[in-house]
Amino acid sequence: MSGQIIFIVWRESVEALLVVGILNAWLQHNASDSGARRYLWGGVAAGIAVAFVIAYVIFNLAASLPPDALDYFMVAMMLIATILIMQMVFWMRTHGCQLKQHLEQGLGAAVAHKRWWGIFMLAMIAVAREGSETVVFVYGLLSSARNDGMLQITAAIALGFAIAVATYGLLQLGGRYLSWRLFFKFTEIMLLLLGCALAVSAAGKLILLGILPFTSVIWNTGWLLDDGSRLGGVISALTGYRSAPDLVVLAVWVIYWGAILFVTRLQQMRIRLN
Amino acid sequence: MKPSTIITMSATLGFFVIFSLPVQAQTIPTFKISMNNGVVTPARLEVPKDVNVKLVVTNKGSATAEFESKMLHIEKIVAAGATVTLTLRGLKAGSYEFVDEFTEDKKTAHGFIIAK
Repeated sequence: MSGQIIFIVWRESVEALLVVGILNAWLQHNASDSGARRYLWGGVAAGIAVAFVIAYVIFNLAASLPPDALDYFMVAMMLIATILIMQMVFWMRTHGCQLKQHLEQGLGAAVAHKRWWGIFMLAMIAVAREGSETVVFVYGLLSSARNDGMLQITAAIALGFAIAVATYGLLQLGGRYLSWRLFFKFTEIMLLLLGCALAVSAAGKLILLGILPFTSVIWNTGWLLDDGSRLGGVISALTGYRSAPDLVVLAVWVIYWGAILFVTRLQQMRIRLN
Repeated sequence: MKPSTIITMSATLGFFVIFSLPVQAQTIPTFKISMNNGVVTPARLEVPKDVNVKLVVTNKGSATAEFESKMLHIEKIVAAGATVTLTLRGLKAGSYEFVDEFTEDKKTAHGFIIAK
């Protein structure tokens, strides 16, 4: 489970570093003497603060709920995290390539009119977006499996961020060792698999709550990879794999990957039409 | 009172009534499973299919255990000496593996629930 958290924090932090890096580099070149960068770093700090407030609200809300209501809250958070992962992947597919251009346009307009708070807002929204996504994903993941201690969770978050800084450094070397394209391609697939794992866990919780029924096992691939084994357990936590899926799990797989295939097709059609 | 106020109040009341209702426990067949430092007992437990059954899982061991079954969608930490109760609502006929996840390398940590 820590692996999931490390991965999510890693990917989200790299995204945030990318955005802040673009903003900082542009300001350094185009408005280095204006003091605009103070607004940039103010915005970054405010964005981090927003993410912490959201985390505080979610965890306090969860702590105040009675056990029965908490179960439903956790399932809801898992489903929200799943949908958010899908939304994020599709958003990055369409906007990722123009991200730099959009950010620089926003900065250009703000600097031209000396609207320094515009820079502040731009940085705050970008960082708050990645930060709040991270919070929702991490809470969804914590809901989907047993909770390790607070210490392990904090360590996983810190490790994810440290790897992100190193990865960002590698990526900035100009694609000699690791290209942005490869990074986004790889993490996109990992994210979609993780979304599937969350969806399967959420369905399992709904079965235990009596909202979805127990159904018969459809097949058993335990001879190939047993989800009760150590390796199988890690793989099922990261991908939603089950060696003995019942009808509900199978339905989740079909609906989840069907939806992704459908939206992917839709996006490709729209690109071709434009 | 405005209609919207009445709706909000009755919805709030309904919410509290639903969540404070006592669970009807008397009629549900109950089965016990114990985990003791990597040994689950019984290793084979028969339960009736298609009805609600209750599992009372006790950790008699000295270390924290985790009652896990991917097939039953259960993942539950049980502290040393603690007991947790799980309700299985209408299990289909079949054999469902469960394990004390923290001692999964031991053969004795694995068991089966047979619904028939």
